[in-house]
Amino acid sequence: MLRVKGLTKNFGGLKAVGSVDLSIEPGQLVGLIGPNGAGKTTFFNLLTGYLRPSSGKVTFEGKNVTGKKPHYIAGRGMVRSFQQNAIFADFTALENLILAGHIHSGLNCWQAILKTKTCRRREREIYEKAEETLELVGIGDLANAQAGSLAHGHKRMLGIGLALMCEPKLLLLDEPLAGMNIAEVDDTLVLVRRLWEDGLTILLIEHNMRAAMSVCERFLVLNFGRTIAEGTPEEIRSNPEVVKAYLGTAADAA
Amino acid sequence: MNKTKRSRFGIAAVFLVALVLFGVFYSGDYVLHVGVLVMINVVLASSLRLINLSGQLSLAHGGFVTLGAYASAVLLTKVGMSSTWLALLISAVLAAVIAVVIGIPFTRLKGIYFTITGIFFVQVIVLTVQQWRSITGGNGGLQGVPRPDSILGIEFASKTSFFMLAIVLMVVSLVILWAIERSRIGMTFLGIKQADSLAESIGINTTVYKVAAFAIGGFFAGLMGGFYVQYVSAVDPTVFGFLPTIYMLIYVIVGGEDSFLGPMVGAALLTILPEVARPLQSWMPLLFAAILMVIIFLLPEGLVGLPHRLVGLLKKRTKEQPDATS
Repeated sequence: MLRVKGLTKNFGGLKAVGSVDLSIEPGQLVGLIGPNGAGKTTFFNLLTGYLRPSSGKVTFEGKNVTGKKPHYIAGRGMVRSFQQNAIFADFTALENLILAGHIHSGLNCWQAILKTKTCRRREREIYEKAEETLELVGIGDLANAQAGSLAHGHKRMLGIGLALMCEPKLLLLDEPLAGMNIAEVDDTLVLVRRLWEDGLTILLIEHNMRAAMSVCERFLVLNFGRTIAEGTPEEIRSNPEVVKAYLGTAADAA
Repeated sequence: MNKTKRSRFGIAAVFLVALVLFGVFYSGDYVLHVGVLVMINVVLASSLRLINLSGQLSLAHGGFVTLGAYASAVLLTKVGMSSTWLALLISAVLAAVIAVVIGIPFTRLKGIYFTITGIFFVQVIVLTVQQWRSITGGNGGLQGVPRPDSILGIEFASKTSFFMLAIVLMVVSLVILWAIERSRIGMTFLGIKQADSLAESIGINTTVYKVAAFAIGGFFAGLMGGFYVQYVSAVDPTVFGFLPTIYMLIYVIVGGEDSFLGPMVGAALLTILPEVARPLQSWMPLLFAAILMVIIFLLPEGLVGLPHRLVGLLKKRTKEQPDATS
């Protein structure tokens, strides 16, 4: 489904991401982990068109999407969430999702402006789907609350809802657990697991190793922009490179 | 919800009928003239607001009006085009096309940088029409632009006829702007305004929408430019230069940027004000600036927020009164 070959990004002399390879097959739930500054988010930005790679190639479902615009990549089915609270703050929760639902509405501008029958029918469908999605991410009772006034955890779930409304084939989640309390972490992990069981392919960035270990079946570990390990949770846990990256050694400090 | 929608439609209809009746029965040329100017400015302010909806504070608007005005004037006096209506359409389309051409690079810039390019654009247009004397008549401008051709047996000569034509153009423009705003497209503009990289992530081609907003605004600005020049039958380079552009923005903010009605209220009051306060003519920019300041500090939601505020105040009063007597 997703093939990444030698993906590299240089910021001046700094190699933020250095020739990373990754391939994801349909139905997988892959974790991308690594210490702070390892280049995880930069990697996401490269995949989804927010940054242009210095070199390397990204292929999604057989199509080369390297260096394409974010909206194009989202339209092809590779949809991301953001680490910060990325929501449309002035809209209600429901309106947020309705806006996201228009990506595959198939309506042209005349239909939209003239509110044709087809348009009204599609908008009705999108509205219903938005309500369902709100329920799914657990904030169904907050449909008419202004998004900007939601609690942090609810905003994060709304962010995931936005991505889900785009009917992703591959969902990229950027630290969905950041800043959540323990109950919210559990809910989110259950949701991720459920989406995956329903057939969605997911690439999950997570800083919280324990949480990531509990859901993902395969891992890619980055440090200083390079792949230092790849494999199952057991393999990752026992990999000396990973342990060193997370715990550090005396040699690192020197 | 539906009820307020219907009552809003009702109010608009009553207002429109009143406007038409006023045009039919009132024959004071001066007042009708001011009425035409009001309606032109209403469309200019409303179309400027549409661009603002997409999160882009534009100061290019006067450039589009000037373009539209000169397009009609040059076509009708120099090129010898025979149909004034075709010239009017070309004024609008040309402004929209230029908006697309400059919008593609300009809309890549964000915030204040985009705004600055608008000022630059207005200056380029003004300087161009000042210098390109063979076509535009330089600083003297162009005179003798023909009045609109008669249509359906209506001759455009009296102020009343122009007043009616202005009503038609204004209503058509506002209906289109309203339809765009309440559609998915308007919602997308607002989304882009709030978070444009998030909008990209959910598959919205933000460049296309930003350029589209700019071009739609430009279209109506060009249309009003063409209409203006066919109405007063003359144009000079600075009628819609930098200061008038700033005025358009002031109409929007003073009236209230967040509501569709806002720019209409702002444009109407601030077009009438200089006419009422003729002796203060040379102080007008200062007066406008003062009004803008007062609104920004005391009534940030604009004049359309005033009734709501007053109701709030009244309620507070009536609540307090029993307390005071008891």
